[in-house]
Amino acid sequence: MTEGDHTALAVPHDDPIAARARAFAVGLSDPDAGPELREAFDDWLAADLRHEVAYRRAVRVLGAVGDLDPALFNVRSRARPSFGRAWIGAAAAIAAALALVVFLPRPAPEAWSAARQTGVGELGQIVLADGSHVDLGPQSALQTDFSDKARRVRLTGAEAHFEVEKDASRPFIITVGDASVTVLGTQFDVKSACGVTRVSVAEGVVRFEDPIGAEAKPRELILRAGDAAELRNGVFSPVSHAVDVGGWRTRFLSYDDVSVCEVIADANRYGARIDIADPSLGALKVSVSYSVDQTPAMLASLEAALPIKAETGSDGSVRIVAKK
Amino acid sequence: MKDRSSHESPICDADGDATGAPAPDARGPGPGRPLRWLSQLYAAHKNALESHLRRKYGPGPPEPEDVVQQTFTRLATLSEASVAKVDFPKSFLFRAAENVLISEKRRARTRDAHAANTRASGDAGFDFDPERVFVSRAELALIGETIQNMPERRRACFVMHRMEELSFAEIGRRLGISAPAVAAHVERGLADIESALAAAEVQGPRE
Repeated sequence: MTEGDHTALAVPHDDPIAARARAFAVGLSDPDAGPELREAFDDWLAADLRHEVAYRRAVRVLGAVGDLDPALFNVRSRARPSFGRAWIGAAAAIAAALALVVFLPRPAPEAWSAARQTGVGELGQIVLADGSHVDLGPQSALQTDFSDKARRVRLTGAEAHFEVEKDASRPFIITVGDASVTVLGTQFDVKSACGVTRVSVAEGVVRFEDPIGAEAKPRELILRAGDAAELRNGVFSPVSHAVDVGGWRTRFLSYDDVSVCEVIADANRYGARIDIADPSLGALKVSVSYSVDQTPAMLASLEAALPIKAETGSDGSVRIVAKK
Repeated sequence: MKDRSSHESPICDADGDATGAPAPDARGPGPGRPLRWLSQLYAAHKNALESHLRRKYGPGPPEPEDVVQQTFTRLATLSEASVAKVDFPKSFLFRAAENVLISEKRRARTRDAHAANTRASGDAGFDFDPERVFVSRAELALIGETIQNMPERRRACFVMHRMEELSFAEIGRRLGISAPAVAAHVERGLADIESALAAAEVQGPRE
């Protein structure tokens, strides 16, 4: 490896890699950033030399900003009383443990209290009473019902990343749609969109189970750290490529061989207004990565890869139709 | 991105010179100014730099303490002419240290992979490369201009984060928005600056 190797690698500032580099450079410079972000950064940095090139540039620019006089910029900074920092070292306390993912009838309504609800484009971070961390995707809501016997949370909407504190005496039970996920302590994503439920595991071991699956078909999969699997219409399929678990929390969405339906459903949760004219177009598979504020670039990628066309209406909404 | 050989004013012309002595340059060897400069920098910022690296990148590896030592060791190889170009020694030092840290992470990985021959002295040039550390006054002016032209909320988030060093949560409280929304504004601001710098590079240097 020589210096020439690095300098020959140009990463345009509008490349998705540059966007991800900026997300890390900005995220890591937040004094509240946690160890899980640093771990994600290390993995990302190691994956490709272009990541390093783009990150060095972001650090250089951010560092230079500190040289400027703030008085130049006419910013009114109204100091309000600070309530102190919730400094939670949750990830450090997380132990690899067995998690059970079981599809059960929805439990009877209990004493739910709303923990957090996010709007279009908004991400939410919640620290629950037991110290577990939840990152909530846009247009999602979390309710909790904690007792001595169990820690129950209910996810409505699409997506959340969980880092569950280990507590063997009180299982952590997530209800999402008709599925129920029981956890002892681990880190993983649960996502439900376009008829597919996907579990992607960062830490720990998860048993992904479908009790109503057909006799002849496998009814469970054991997922370990780095594994991901999907359940659609009672059929499991492992997701073979590397999944960036929790990567969506940096507002950078990365897809490998997923349906257009899912890509668009997610974009709409981040504030886009995109409609798919024909369900058969939604079933097309595609691989794409983009920063959530770059929806037009994402649509251009879809148009380039698939026989579709994105038509923008006068009100700014977009309709995906078949290319003639 | 420009090729290294096209740098008009390299901040580090000490590639391959790991002896610690300032390299001769056009103005002749200075009377020990780089070393005095270095010991002042060390006394003033060593502790702050170490805790900054620890807060941002964790306990390592590479350990923040080692990164600080390596940064100063390599800074000692800068020529006086290079040192004279540094308008803001503290932020130069902090940026350089982050670059050393990134290189150390890579070196640790290649060591893990049993890759041979990492070039310790050559990397000093890489870490202090003008394209990675040194920011010219023209670039700084362009950065300032870009910040001034940002939409108000983006500019507020950007300035409060970068210059007042507040957490995203605190900025969010002051502006009445969520912490992730603050992060998104700061990222967008950074993208604006990178794009402005890239456009200026295409048009040619502004100096």
